[in-house]
Amino acid sequence: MLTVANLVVDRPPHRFHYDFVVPTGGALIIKGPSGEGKSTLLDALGGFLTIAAGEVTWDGQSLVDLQPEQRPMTTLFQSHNLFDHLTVARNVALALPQLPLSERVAALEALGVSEQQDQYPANLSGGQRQRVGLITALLRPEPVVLLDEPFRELDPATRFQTISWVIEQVTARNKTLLLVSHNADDDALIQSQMTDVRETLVRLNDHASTATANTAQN
Amino acid sequence: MAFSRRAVIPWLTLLPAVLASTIAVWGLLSARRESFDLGFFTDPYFVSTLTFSLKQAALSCVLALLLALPVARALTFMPQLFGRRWFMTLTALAFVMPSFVLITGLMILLGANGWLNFGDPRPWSLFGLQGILLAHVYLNMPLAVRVLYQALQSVPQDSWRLSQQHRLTGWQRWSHIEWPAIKPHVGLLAAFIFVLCFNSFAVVLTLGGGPKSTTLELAIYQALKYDFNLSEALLLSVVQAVIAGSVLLAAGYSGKSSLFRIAVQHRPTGLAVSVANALGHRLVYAVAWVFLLLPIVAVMIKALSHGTQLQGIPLLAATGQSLLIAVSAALVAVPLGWLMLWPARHFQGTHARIALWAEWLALHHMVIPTLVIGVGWFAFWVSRIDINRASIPLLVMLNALVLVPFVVLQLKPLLVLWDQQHRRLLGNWRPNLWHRFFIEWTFIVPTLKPLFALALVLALGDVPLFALFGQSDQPTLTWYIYRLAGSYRLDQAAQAALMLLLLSSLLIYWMEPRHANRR
Repeated sequence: MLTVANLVVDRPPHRFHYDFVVPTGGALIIKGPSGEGKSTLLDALGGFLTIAAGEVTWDGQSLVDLQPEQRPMTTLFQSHNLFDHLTVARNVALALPQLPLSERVAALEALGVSEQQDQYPANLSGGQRQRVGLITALLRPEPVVLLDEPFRELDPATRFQTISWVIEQVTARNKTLLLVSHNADDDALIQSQMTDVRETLVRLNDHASTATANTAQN
Repeated sequence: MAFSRRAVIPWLTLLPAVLASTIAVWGLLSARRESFDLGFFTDPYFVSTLTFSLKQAALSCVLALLLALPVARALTFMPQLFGRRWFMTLTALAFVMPSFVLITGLMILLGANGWLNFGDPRPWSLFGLQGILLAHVYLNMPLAVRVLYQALQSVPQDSWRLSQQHRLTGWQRWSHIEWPAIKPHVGLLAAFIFVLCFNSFAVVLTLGGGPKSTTLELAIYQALKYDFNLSEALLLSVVQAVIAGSVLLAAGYSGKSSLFRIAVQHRPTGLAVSVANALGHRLVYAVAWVFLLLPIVAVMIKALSHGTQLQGIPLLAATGQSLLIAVSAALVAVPLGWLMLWPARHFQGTHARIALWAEWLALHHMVIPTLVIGVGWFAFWVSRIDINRASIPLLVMLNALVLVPFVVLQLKPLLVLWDQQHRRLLGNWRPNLWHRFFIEWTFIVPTLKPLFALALVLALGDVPLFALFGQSDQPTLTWYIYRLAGSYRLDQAAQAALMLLLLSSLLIYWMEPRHANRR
């Protein structure tokens, strides 16, 4: 279980508060207007930001003093999820060293990007890069996956296929999923296929310049 | 967290540079036999030396900047210039060109029997202040052209278009658009050129001469080499380092920007140029071409006109000696510079102040004149080892040390940006040390190649270190030219200079980006 208790992050001039719980194997959909603290939350959980106060625990163990590489989570950022000077295949191999080649290829095939294996990320479309990024994030061994608008650049045709693949992987690997989303259709699809899906709204309060987030169970 | 055991390892990479400085200071402090005589500072010799050092550096700097500005403007405003790319290569070559190639060329053109110095009595003497200024302007104006051109290029096209729409006069455009664009760079550029001229050794050694036109740098050399007066050398070194260091610090030198950019791209302004202006720009451009080419052409003609009397063996031996030292020094300096950025990068973002310190440590040889480190090392080792026998390893180490700041300055902006973009990804993927090295190595290798060429050219031009530690019976090319030119064997000096010029040109050609070769 992931517990975020009275977490405070300062990003002058704003101050963000987060407080929620996500059970193991469950999903949390993070909603709210742009620029009001959603990515900040993911960065704080991933260990890429120093926090001002509060506690984050995974299965009872505190994470706040751990380096990013010691935390049980992996993040799909909004950009820079691949090294631009390395081919897709090389990127995937470096991200997933524990996975045999056949499984890496199978994943690329499942998301329709196997033909781009020997290309450099700059030659891929935004949606193709996003799918390669999703593969690296979901097939890594860490039990918690943080996805920042993962389906943003996908066209309608690949969108359904990709979301289904993500849910399949999350379920099969018993991952705990935190996902920033702007799309109600995506949320509905996830809610229809996963059992424990919660939602939280992150938004900035204009007067106090603070953002708060609390879980609401559907 | 900053001083945990894991964080100690990056600091170790700074050890060679810190150790080298410690050796220098130790050597300077412990080896002197005479006590300090502070009355030295009021000695007329010291006062005139200091005054002349400052005067020539200030004049060189102002002249280089004033002459560079019209050239940079011509490059910016003319949409079509014949041979623009070659001109940029020439500016790169002129800036890194070993001083003795230029000096040989100047002696052929303007020396006692110089091609451009005819009439009776000779209208011009190359020796003294005017010769020093000419050489310094030649070596530094190209850097100023590149920096100012780059600065003017950073003005967005919209601003140029607006200036046209608002019908701004030439003066208004200068004061509202051009000057604000170059202003942030001028202080640093001026300080940098001032310090380069203030620390200049080879030019003053050959063209200075006489107590009237001597500089601190040369006085240090003379105190050490001829009088072996270590306390005088130490006092002079301290004055030299303090002045050079404070000028750079005062100009806000923090390694934020690297002045000498390997690549300068041309982006047209989209402005129409009036016929009169175009004529002016073309004239300036042509004069700049001639100015930069003349000494090179002089060396070539002189060298090739005596093709039958080639002095093969000593020339090849000197070339071999130069390459041995320069290649080894560059091979040490490039990886070392890369490694030495590690602590600064490690603390970037989390501990800004520590990162700044780490960066300063990686760069501190920039403000300490080469000769000061050299003198310190000389004093340290002279009583411990046989300097004559250890000459080559010592030269390699010291040359590498001098090159490290250049490497650090070139790599830093690139790696800082890369860290910003990819640090989180590395935290995500948790690659092992070998994979981490592989990822960064493949990223940096296209940059390391031209950087290696730059380091190599700079090391090929070394004079002061060889003057201290070199064996005169195994000279490098620069030292060989110095001896030949000093005894007015200009034909042979030109042949050696041509060899050095060819090596430098090849390296510069290799270094300048011709086409985007990746992706």
